[in-house]
Amino acid sequence: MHKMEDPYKILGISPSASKEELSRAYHKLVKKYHPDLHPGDKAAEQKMRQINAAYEQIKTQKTGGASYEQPDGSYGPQRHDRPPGGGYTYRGDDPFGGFDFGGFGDIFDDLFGQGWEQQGSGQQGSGAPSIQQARLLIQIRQYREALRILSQMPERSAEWHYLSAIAHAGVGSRVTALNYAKEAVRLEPGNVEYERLLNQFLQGGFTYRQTGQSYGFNMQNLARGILEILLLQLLCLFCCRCC
Amino acid sequence: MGKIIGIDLGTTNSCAAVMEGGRPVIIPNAEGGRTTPSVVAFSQSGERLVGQLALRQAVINPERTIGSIKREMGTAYKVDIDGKFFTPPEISAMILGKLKRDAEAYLGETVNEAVITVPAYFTDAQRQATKDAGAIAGLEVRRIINEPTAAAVAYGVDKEENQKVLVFDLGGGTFDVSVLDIKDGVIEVLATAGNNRLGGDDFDSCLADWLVAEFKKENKAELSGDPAAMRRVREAAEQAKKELSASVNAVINLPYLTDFKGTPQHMNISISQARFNELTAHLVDATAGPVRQAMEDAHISKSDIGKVLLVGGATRVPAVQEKVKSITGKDGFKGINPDECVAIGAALQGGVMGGEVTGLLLLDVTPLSLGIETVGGVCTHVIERNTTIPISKSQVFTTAAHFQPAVEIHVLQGERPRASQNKTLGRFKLKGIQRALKGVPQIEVTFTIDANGIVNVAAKDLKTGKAQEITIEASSNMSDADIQKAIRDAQQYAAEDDKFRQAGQARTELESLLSQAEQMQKQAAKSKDKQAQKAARETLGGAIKAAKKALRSKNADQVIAAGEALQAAMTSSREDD
Repeated sequence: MHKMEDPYKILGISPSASKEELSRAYHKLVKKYHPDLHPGDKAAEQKMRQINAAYEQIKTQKTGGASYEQPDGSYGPQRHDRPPGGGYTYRGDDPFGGFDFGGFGDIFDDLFGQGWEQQGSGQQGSGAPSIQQARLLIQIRQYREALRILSQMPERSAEWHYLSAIAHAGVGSRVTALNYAKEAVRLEPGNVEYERLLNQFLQGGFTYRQTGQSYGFNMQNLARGILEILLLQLLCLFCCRCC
Repeated sequence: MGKIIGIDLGTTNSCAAVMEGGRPVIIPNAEGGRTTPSVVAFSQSGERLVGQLALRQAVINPERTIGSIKREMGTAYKVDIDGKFFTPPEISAMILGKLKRDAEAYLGETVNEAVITVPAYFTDAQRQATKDAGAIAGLEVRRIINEPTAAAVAYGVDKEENQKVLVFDLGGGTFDVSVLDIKDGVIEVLATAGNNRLGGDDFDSCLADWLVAEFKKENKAELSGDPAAMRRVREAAEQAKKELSASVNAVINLPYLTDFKGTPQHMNISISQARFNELTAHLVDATAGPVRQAMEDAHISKSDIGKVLLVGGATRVPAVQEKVKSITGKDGFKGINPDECVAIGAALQGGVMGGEVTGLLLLDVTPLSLGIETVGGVCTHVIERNTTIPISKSQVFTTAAHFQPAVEIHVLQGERPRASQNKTLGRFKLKGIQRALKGVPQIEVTFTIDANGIVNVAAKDLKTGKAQEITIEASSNMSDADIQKAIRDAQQYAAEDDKFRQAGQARTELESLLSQAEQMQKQAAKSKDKQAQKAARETLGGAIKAAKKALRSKNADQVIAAGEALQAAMTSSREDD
């Protein structure tokens, strides 16, 4: 694969196109290039793959709950000018080979370390139960499940966008993640956590490990008042996973 | 160019259809049925039976009768018949071969191409195995399409109205749910979900187990060790299940089922629909999850669903229909035949590909997410489930250790967060990565899914340009050489089958000739003409003796030779008159 083109350009629509326009433009192209209509034509199949990739990308951004008008139409997980994320396990001398329970370690560090002490500070948790669930799931790296929960929530606050950004980064949708991070900053300018996340995304280099760590750090500010509940839920979850 | 037939290769029944005069029609099989049981049997004499004939003798030959082979597709399972091992694609190819022959007989021309359907939730390995089965049967598989999608095509082909359709497909062994958007001749799959190991067979097993337990309570006799009795109980259970779809009570009556301490035991058990529902409630409940997931993934609510299509024989179970209604808020649409619509849809797709059908386009999706294993045993997705195919998507990854010389690309399919919980499609190594600190190398991994849902993965070091790729072939699947061998074997079986048929025919002919000859001999014996009597004895007598011997021998060639000799003797004997 080569450098990904602008998905909006591929589908011939503007970033502000409505859902209807997207669907119409897509169907028009499909009727032109679908391999069923061109048996054996490799070029058509190639084109169709590109169209589907573009369509999927725009659709994900859309149904993910982001505002349809992306501020800059940013796109393209294949852009090579962005430093890579993710890491390979290398069997042999891989220091992280096999299962890595680091995720739990991080959480306990947070909870029993600084996090737990802050419990008494009396600040009430601002999130609804669903937000809490999403947070918890992100902490244990169940990003997909977190996304599912997030997608069910009608209210989309800055924090919602912030969590969505992390969860999307966790499942590897980095462009979507970036857009959410931007939205979070836009909705609540001046929030240090959100800005830090956005900067991290913009500078690239967010491997899963780093995402986890940065989130762990953010948790100190985010989860103060709800840590008690969180801990209970977490213990439950932890026990269930062990059994 | 020949016709492209559509085949629904089912767990318990298969069905074929073809476009004729612009309309899809079901191809009846040689026995006159519109569906063919997906059963293959090897008789004690070595004859191979497929379909209705195989099913009919299943009770007396349970060990050498193979049913529900579809459940084993894509696994390393092998069927052992007299020390010869058959893979699931080879057995499936026997069923496809019969459908092909019956289609050829119906159309009066050779058939070399097909569109074959698979459950939407089939994995890459299972799709590949299905493709292999087609090749072994001498069919070029032009397209693998998903069963619920095919059903929706059959429904949506002549619908002007734009609408969203939910297909609930509970077949013999698999369960699929798909949500589709039918709009201006484009049928777009929005989401699909399912369970590869849930189907009508499980309802039968449930009922059969209960019957065996009840029987034990009443008669003290254990049936589970008796394959022939178990086969009868299973068949009776299936029958009772069907009856219970229409009436509130069914009676299972199996005389002389087994012997207990020398006395024959009969089964006579009555079951109510309520009891049956109780026994199978967990199966019905298991369908709810995938329906909800598909609706969620498609971002639709009850009110968005225009029609609910019920596909597969097991959707006739009233409790299943009630469940569907309770989740979707709609009764199942009655206007399509749940047993035939999948094959019809496949034939329509064949028509689209052959240029016979225009203004219809199917956009299918990949049912399961695809990704690779990354640090910490995490499964990182590159292509999400429910992505429209064909598609190519790339993502850039990096190394986890300093100066890492190679990466192993562990290709995964599934939704679980941990690599080990998903299905491994394959592994390959990309070596010769330039020495660098961790996080520096850029390795681009590209997933390509073709229109059949079959996956290819490539990895490339963007710095050095080194690349590696594989088309996924799970270890359980057959290599090209295996397939070539299986094709030759299949042709040989076909030749043997022909010989068997010919031998059978020759026997019948010889038997009737023999009775004619004996008649002639008797008449000659009554004749006054001593000369004629003697001539008849000489010419016919020897031939009749040889014919009787040949019939006893069961040797096909000998039977044919004896038949010819007898025919000649009778002709000359007539001329003597």
